[in-house]
Amino acid sequence: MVEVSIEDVYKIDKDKLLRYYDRIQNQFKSSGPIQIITKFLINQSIGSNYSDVYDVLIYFRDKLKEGKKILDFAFEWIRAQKIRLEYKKYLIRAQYPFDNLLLAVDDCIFKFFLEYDTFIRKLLKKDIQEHNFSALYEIFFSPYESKNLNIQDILERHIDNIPTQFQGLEKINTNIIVLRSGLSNIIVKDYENVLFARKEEKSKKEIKLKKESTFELEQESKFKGFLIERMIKTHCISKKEISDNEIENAVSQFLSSYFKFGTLYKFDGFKDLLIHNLADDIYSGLTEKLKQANSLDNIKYLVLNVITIFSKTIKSKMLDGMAWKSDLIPFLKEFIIKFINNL
Amino acid sequence: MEVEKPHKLFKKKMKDQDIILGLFYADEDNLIFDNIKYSENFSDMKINDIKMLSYKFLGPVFLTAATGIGNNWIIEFVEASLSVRDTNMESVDVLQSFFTLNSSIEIQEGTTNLFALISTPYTEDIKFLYDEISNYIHPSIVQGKIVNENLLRSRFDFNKLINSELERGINLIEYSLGGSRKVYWEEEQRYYCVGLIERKNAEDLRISNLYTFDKDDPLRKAFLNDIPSYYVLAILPDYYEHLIGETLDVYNKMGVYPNIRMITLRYRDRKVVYLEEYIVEHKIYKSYGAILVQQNEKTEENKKLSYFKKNLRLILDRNKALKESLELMNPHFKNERWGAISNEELDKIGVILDNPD
Repeated sequence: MVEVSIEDVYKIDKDKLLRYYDRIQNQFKSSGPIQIITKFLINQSIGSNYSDVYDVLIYFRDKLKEGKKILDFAFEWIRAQKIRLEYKKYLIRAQYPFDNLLLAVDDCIFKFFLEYDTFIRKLLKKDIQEHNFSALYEIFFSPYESKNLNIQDILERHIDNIPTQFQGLEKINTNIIVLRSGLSNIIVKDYENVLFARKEEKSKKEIKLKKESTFELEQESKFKGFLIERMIKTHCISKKEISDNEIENAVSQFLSSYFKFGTLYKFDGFKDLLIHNLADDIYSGLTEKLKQANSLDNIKYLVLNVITIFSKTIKSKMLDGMAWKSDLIPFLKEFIIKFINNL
Repeated sequence: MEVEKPHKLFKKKMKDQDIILGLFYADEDNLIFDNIKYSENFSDMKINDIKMLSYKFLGPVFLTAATGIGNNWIIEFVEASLSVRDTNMESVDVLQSFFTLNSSIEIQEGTTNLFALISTPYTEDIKFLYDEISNYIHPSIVQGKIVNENLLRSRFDFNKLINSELERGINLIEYSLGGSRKVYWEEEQRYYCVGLIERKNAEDLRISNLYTFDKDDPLRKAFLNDIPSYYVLAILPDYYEHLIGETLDVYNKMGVYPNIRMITLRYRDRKVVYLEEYIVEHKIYKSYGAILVQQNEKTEENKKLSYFKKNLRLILDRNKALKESLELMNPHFKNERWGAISNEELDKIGVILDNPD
């Protein structure tokens, strides 16, 4: 199995970046190299502000290994943000049991940064103090929207956490502690943001679900006889004769708007609603003139009589929606036919 | 470098009673600290038995050092295959993998070992888990001690550190379980056979024999530096197979039984692989295992693991006589059988076969 390097996994288009760098260099000929690289990085959305980036570059300039340039450092800063993007993609999907933050730190360091540590150490001098690496990780992997990347503040936070230990002339390897020191806060904050976003998403979904179920309830909480209303209106205005079939269809639509197939309904649970809604629909179909002759209360009284007659015929007080519908249709159809004929 | 998708998205979280998972740390003075997962319903006696596992598993890890013979070989990997004991059982334990991994780090004061005991209902990405243990969890302990000693001086509490690190370590391993096994380049390496172990186990039967070079063959002496010792290698398969069986019993996993599949030992750049195949005939567990040395300047005909595996199977399936197979394993082997059960037999192996003079 061929080991794949960090450079291959997290590729940056150095040629393209160099062309852009050259353009910046040509634009600001009077500026110094660090100023130009600062401008170059800021234009790549790297770092918090000009002076912070400038200070970081100045600080690490003399810590680079022989043969490495500050532009190499700048490229690695860009690559680090690319790695951050991949790591964030992973973190968004990660499900750590009990939202264990330490597990998030260990898992991400092992999967994304352990090998990176070996890679990035090739850029800096071997003998520099370990807290520099820890500070570097905080700078490189902070979110691009970070407000404060002041190198002195960051160094102060790390200098006492990471002692540099020697065994003879050799520096003792404490890379994992360095990685934890530099990245723990970032990973924890990122994962907390993921958890917060998930929570938000969940509550949004719950609200949506609640709204949907309320909507469904509203739909079922009323008989809607728009066909009855339209039919009566047509009859009142154009004096057009309404066929029995049309009346049956209108009654069927009125009942279907409430009763659902497979749902059980108690007679007492819908009786009053049916009387009110049917009376309302019939009343609103009447012209103003006819409304005066047929008050809403009067219509309600008429519907009540029909329903009372119907109630005497039923054997079971609880039936499926379809059953109520088929039982009610003949009674209501006959009532509406008579009502229209008497108008 | 390959970063996998988060495993937990694809499988439900394993319950503590579904897996066997333990992490044992032995410091440079061989003091042992552990963190072991077990069901909350276990009795105190069972928990005590579980707590003893760290000593039993780490025993042979110290053994090679304690014998004082030769170099300090590390038992890096032990794997057993699990077979269903009785298909008529009401519920069969769904365990599929059983292996141990050991990472050793030499520090100025001595050697520290981090040992993981893992058995799960899945096939596991062993290489990934080993990398996690040896490149992250174990160095975290060693480095954490160095850094905290320096920062906290007399206030440094090692117990607190080790308990916290073992907890983090076991959580990380558990989170990584369930990754599919991959073929790694190590499996393509070539080996040279320096011994064959024949084992037979039944209720009233326990046989273990070693076949190797003639005691006067210069090749025997030549390869002594490439193995811990014939004595240690003759003991290990039986020891670990019984210990794994005992572990399964302690965890109430009675539906499966173990057979050693592979043991890997390492000393610096040297590596020994013990590869075993088995068969059950008339209630007798019969197995043959090859002691293999990684290809080096002394080895002549080197073969891949698959070659040895195939020949071990051929002996078991009676398609080839043992004598004939011994020749295929290594033409220099003698048909002489060295008993490896009683102390006398093992002492004989130690005195004669491990004698470098």
